[in-house]
Amino acid sequence: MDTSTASAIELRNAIRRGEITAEKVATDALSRIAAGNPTLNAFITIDADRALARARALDGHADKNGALHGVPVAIKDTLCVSGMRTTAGSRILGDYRPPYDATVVARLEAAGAVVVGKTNCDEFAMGSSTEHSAFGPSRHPMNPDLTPGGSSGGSAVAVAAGFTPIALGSDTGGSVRQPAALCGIVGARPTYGRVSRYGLVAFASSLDQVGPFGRTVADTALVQDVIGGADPHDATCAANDSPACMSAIESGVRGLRIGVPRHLIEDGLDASVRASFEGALEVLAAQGAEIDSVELPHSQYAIATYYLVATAEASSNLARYDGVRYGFRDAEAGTLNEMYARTRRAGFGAEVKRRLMLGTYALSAGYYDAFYLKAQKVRALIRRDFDRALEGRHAVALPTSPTPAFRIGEKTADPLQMYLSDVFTVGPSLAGLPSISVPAAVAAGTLPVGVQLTGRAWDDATVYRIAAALERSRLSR
Amino acid sequence: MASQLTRDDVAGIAELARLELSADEQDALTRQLGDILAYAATVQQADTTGVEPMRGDLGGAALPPWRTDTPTPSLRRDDVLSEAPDAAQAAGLFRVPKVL
Repeated sequence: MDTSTASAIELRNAIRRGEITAEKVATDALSRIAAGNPTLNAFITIDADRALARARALDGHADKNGALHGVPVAIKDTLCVSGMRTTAGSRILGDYRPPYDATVVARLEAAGAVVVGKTNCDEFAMGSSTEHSAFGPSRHPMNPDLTPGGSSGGSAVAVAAGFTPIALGSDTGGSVRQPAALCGIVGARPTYGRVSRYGLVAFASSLDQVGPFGRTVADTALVQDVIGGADPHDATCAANDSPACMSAIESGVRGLRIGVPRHLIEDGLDASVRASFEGALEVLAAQGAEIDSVELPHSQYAIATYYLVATAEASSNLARYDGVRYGFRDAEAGTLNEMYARTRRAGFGAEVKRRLMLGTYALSAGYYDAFYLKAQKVRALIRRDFDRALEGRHAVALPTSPTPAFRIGEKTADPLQMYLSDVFTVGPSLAGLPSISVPAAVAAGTLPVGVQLTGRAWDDATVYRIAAALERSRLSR
Repeated sequence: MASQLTRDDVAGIAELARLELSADEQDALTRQLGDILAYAATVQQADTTGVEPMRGDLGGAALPPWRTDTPTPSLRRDDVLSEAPDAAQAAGLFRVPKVL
């Protein structure tokens, strides 16, 4: 069995049947990472000893019924794994080793998954290319001159390059869906409140969601089902009595209604993205879905709204990095206030500073009403747009990103250009809705393109169902 | 207002954000924040008459569950202090520079 291309479900089944050991699967994954990571920089931390010890222990278990028994998984470095260095892509956390597991990590391990390491990301998940990582950019598996997208770029690379079949990321404004699209894999943002954020390094709390990556829709759905559900450690996480995502994926799209906001894609779309997206709509129509046009009238404000809300919340959340309780401290400072300001000067990178400044401004006296409060009102309108579009429809379809993967360095000089690469992903984030990116069929020799499907709150299962139909069609071509 | 952001404004925001900035950073941020705020100010064109701002519950999307208030163990103090850049382990305290 080729453990680099096998799905998580295939690996788990083979281990259960005794055809391969978890140790062999982990050893293979670790040697692929050792060979490929120096070029691709997908991982900030690799813990081979821990992974192998855990895989051997799993091989000794009589009970091999865990949903992810023996499956290697990569974890974005914004999520805590007890005792494993956690940096969030920043210098300011130093060699921080959290004394606890994120709930999603604990649930993956309880299901038998084997954590191989922590993946690279934009610092505090602030970016769309991993270029804002203090550990250097990750590189696209198909062409190392390109970015894999971000902020969860390392996790997307780990899966796309065949290091691990599945990974976790976090998605605030598109940080799972956009790198999934650019790398040609599946990535999902669950409904806000469906997955615990306990142990996720906080960026913007009204937006942050943990999300799964996989090479198949089924693997991605399985991971979401494993990590989801109420958590006493996270009061924003709701009890999950919604149907499992896995249960829906074979159902096909006949009779489903899917709206397309045509007014958003009239221009500004890369030609290959347009061709692949239109091709995907034809596939869905041919399989019996009803495709029509919808309006999202306030979408033009989505990026501006997102950057005001997210940076304001970040300026509050990142106040905790003060050199007192963990991470890096500038030890030369004479007074407490000097220590704060110097620690943060040396510890944060340029993009984080930019966003903290923007967020502080948006919350400051005299500007709060005009910026933060106004943005939260526009956000309510954006949610209402989606609610109306989804009345009588099952999903809204858009390309995940207006362009395929772009070159490293192409957008770093102009922060606003980088922000605009999130133009289609921030809307569902602001609205709190489930949203998935699934690869579309592309012409031979062209870069991957993702289709984004956004559903009604708590109806994550239906976006997986539509994604699975697109996947079956693409693979049967 | 956004396009009129001055270097002094940036210094004031930096103080609120507890960030020490170099002269170069202050110059770059004056320009970049001006551009970004001019773009962000487009939200002011939206008609939000009578619209309530979105709150943490995302318009009723997520209702926090109720639970019984049962005490459970917290993280061990030694484990937490061991991550601090300067801790007085025996006393169980984080140590910081003088306040004034």
